[in-house]
Amino acid sequence: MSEPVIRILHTADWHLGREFHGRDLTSLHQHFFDWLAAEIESREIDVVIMAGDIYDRALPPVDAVKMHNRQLPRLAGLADLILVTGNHDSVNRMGFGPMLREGLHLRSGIEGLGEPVLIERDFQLAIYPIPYLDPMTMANELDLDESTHTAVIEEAVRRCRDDLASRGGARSIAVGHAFITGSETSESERSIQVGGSESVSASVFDGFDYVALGHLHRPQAVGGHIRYAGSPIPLSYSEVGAGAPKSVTVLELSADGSIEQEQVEIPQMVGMARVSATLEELLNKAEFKDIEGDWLEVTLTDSARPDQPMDRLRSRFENVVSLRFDAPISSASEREARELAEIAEADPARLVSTFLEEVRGSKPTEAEAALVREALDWKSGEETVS
Amino acid sequence: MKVHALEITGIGPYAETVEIDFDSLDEVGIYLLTGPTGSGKTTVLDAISYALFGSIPKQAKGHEVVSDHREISTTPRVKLEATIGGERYRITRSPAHEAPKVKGEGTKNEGQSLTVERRDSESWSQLTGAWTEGNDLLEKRVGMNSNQFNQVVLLPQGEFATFLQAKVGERKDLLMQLFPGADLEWLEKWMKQRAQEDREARDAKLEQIHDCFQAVKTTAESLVDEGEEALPRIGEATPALNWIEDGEGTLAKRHEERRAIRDAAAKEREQADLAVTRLNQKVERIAARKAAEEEKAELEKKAEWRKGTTAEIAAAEKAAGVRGYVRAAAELRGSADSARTKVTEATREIAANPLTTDLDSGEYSEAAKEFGERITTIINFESEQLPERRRLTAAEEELETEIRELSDQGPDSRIGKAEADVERAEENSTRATSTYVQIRETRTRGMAAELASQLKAGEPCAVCGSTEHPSPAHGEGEQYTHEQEEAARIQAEEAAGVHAETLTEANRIRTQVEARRAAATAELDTTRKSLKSLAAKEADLAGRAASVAERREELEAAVNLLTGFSDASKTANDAGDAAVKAEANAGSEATKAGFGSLEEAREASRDEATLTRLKSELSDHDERVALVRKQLEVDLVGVDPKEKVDLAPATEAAARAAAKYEEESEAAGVAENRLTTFRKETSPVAGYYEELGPLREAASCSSEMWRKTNGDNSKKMNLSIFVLATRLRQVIDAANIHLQGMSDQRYELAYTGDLEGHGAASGLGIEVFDAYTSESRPTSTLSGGETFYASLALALGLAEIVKRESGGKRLETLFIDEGFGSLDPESLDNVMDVIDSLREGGRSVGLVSHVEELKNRIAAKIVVTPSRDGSTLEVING
Repeated sequence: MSEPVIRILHTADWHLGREFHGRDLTSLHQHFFDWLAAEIESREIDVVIMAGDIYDRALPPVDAVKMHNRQLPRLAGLADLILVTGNHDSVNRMGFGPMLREGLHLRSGIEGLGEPVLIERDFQLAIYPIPYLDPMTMANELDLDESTHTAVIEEAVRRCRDDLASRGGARSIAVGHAFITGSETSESERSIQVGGSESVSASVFDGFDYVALGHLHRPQAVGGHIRYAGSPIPLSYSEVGAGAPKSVTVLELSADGSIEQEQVEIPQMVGMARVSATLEELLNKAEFKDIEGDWLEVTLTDSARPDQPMDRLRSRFENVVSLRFDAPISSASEREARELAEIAEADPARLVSTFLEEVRGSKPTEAEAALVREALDWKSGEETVS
Repeated sequence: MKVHALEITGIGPYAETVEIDFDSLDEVGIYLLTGPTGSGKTTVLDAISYALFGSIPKQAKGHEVVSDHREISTTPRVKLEATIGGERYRITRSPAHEAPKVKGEGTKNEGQSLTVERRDSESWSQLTGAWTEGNDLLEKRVGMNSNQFNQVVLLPQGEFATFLQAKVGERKDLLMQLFPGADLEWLEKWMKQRAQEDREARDAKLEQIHDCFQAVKTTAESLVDEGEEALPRIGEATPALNWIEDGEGTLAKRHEERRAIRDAAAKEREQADLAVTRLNQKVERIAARKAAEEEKAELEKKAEWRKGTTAEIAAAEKAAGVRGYVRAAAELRGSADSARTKVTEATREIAANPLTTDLDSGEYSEAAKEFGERITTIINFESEQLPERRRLTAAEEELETEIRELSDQGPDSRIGKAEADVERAEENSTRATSTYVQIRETRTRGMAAELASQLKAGEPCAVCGSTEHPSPAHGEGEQYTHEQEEAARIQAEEAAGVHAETLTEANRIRTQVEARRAAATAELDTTRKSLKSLAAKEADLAGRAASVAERREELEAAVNLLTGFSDASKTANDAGDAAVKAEANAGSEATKAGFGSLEEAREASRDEATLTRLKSELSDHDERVALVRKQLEVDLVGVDPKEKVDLAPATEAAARAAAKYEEESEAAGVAENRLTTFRKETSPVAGYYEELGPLREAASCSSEMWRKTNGDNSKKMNLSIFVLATRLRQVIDAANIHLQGMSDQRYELAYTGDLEGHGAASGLGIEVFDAYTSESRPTSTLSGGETFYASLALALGLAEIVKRESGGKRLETLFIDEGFGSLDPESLDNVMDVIDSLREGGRSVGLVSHVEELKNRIAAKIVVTPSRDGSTLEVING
């Protein structure tokens, strides 16, 4: 089809199967996919790029897989779909047998690394999917000297750029799943690699018109043409309320070489909010009326942890999902901890003394103390002998 | 403690050697030990435990250390390299196993072995090769024992939930294992024992006091009325002591009273006895009077006897005077008789002796004289002739010997020797001569040969001049010189000379010997003749007797007999005369004394004993007479022998009085006894009470301590539990720091000292406090996942407190064995966050799990693969 523009929708970090403080997110995901499908249709999106972390974990729950199996064909029926696996996905498990079809591209592992998905309109657009590659396992296969993220991605990018160079003037988008130095994280990202240096510098992705990244759940740009789509729904409270709302990024590439970005806010099915106040205030103040139905993280600022807080909060806020306290846990204050340590390390005579105070309310008498001393002498005599 | 490298051979499912380089895994900081169930993941952790402590956690359940899969020639072994307390160690440990014999077939049992080495700068030096020593050393360095280690470093499969959900008893045991210094159970036992001892001492003292009072019970009963309490309460000192005082006073008074009564009874008895005595005396006198009168009658009957005895005595005394003479006469008569006997004997002997039998008594002295002369002759002969005979006998012997010798011509005799000399000389001469001859001949021949040698055919021979030489002389071997010939000739001459000499000598000797022999023979002859004549003389003298000596003896005996007879005769005559004289004397003395005859005097005589007896009988009689008279006239005058006296009443009265005295005496004795006994038995009581005071105090003190420390208190908590409880609270506090993170601030563990139920002792309870509901609930109400991370938090808390206890040694390696499967994804995330945080500061964490998700999240792995022949192991660093 001859079109002057190619419209891309960049999304990432669905984390199908994830729970949110114990709550199932299936319905929220469903809500998102419904909206997404509608957006794709209404905006006439050509390609949907999904930049990794399709699932929340390597072995996803059945419901997540079911959703995946239903939604992907659905989306693929509406636009080309390019997905890369992220660090949460199992490289080996992304089985697509029943769903392979034209227009659905899944890249995981190094197979096809450097080969673009080509979109032809009035111009050519080469989309290079670079899935998440574990440096430890991949460094060998890519024949690299260092097993770092930087080395791996540099190699991947090199291959892509080589290919791009051979295409003379095509537009290019790279899709990747990485942690760029200096970006904002949330509480919900799992460290990209357990141990070792995680981040790569933005410059490794030089050479493309746009870099569609996944991994960080907050939608954010890293210098203009590199962007994290962010997760469609909040995966932790750190993503709630502060800064950018959840969005997908819609790109419009024009024949003249320009790219327009639009962040399209994703309507949330449920409100999520963090709120911090005393129990009393929360129960009684009118200002909290708006959030009564939201999924709440409540931080009680009471100086002492209140009694039965959950029940009481739920009387007004039925979806308190996470409860935190400013007040420390009730077990030992520092002073008590020190006292305990003192007691624990005390000599037997003092132990007995403390014990008697505890169980009968009075210190030992002279006679009682003498008795204890006698017992201790006997014991040390025994120990000398044996 | 940080593990660097581990090598396992022939242990568990590993038939051969597998190695793990933990240092490379540590770079990652977290690694996964993964593989199917039972493949040998836990064995890796067990091997570390085994290397350090020589035992594995599940060994008690019968897990074999040595691998069943190994070749018998493979030595099972664990080799661990680790940094402990800042120093690097290499520990090689081998369990007991069957190994092939070095020589021969079959296997032998190899014992367990241990080598501990330490690295000093460049090399390994061995610290010990001894099992027990090594164990102690390692335990000290590691800073904890096997139990603690397996609770704190190797968080055990499914077992640290045990601690969370244990009953108090089990938790107590575990805490005591982990904190051995907190054990004060011994003090509880000591207090119990002590309380018992003190109680027993106090009771023993009370018993003593009780016994004192019991000893005077009967006495006490006598002091009170029937039905009243005899003994006081002994609980308090003062009333008891007062009672004693009162009792003693009463008893003393009673004793006094009794004594007075007894003394009065004594007096009465005395008087009654006196009355009886008097009556008895009267009865005696009456009896005596009667007896005396009777005796007088008896004595008067014996008057006749008296007279007769008196006369007998007089006559005997008279006869005594005469007795001397009579006895003398008798003696002499005796001597005369025996002398006469002797004479008769001598006569008989003379008749018996052949030399004297024919003699009349008148011829005796003549014969004696003749015999005497003959004796003298013999004696002379003996003294002169006998020595001569001895001399002659000796000479005879000597001559005989000499003749014998001279006759001998044997080889030892002079002649024989001389002959031998001759023979020898002859031999020598012959030899010397023949030698000489031989030499000369040889020489001659030689000369001949010499000459012959110079012979030339046709030339004349020097000897005979012949020009033909048919048989020239040959030289013979030996050639002698002229000197030699000469020497031989001289020798031969000399020898011949010697020979001649010897011959001469031999002859001379023969002649000498012969001459002497003849002379000796003549002498012998003479001597023999002399001996013969001596013998004849002797025979003559001896007569019929064998020798002169014998003859002499016979003659001497005869002489004795004859002289003896004459002596005896004389004696007998003299004795006879003396006897007659004495008898006549005695007769006249008897007449003088008034006896008609000697006979009479003899009859009247009495021996000493009889006389004495008669005299004493007489005097006795007289005495009795006098006595009886006295009695009748003086002592018993006025007494009526017919009077009757009745003793009975007085005797009865005396008996009664005696009986009464006995009674009263006894009663007084009893009273005294009581008093004495009472005093004796109660005297220690005061002292006992003084001793009782402190004993009571001690008993009450120790009883209190015992009860309190053994749980009889408001908290129903033992001392040992209390101590352990403080530890537990520390552990819980440490655990809660982790638990808050893992449960998103929802849960905390709480210590509870409440009763466990059924009044069981409390003190080591753990509850879960839910911040959402502000309620505490038992830990059993947690879900599987919640239990896991609550247990993990508890284990981490335990680890920290144990670490503090053991000197705060750094534990840089930590293993968590299973449990992750029960976590929901969010909890798994939280737990992984906590584990991640443990990695900070250089710790490394090994997870044992088969959970898929973890395989994905954790790149570094130790993959265990089972097979039929045992398991293999691969380390993937990525």
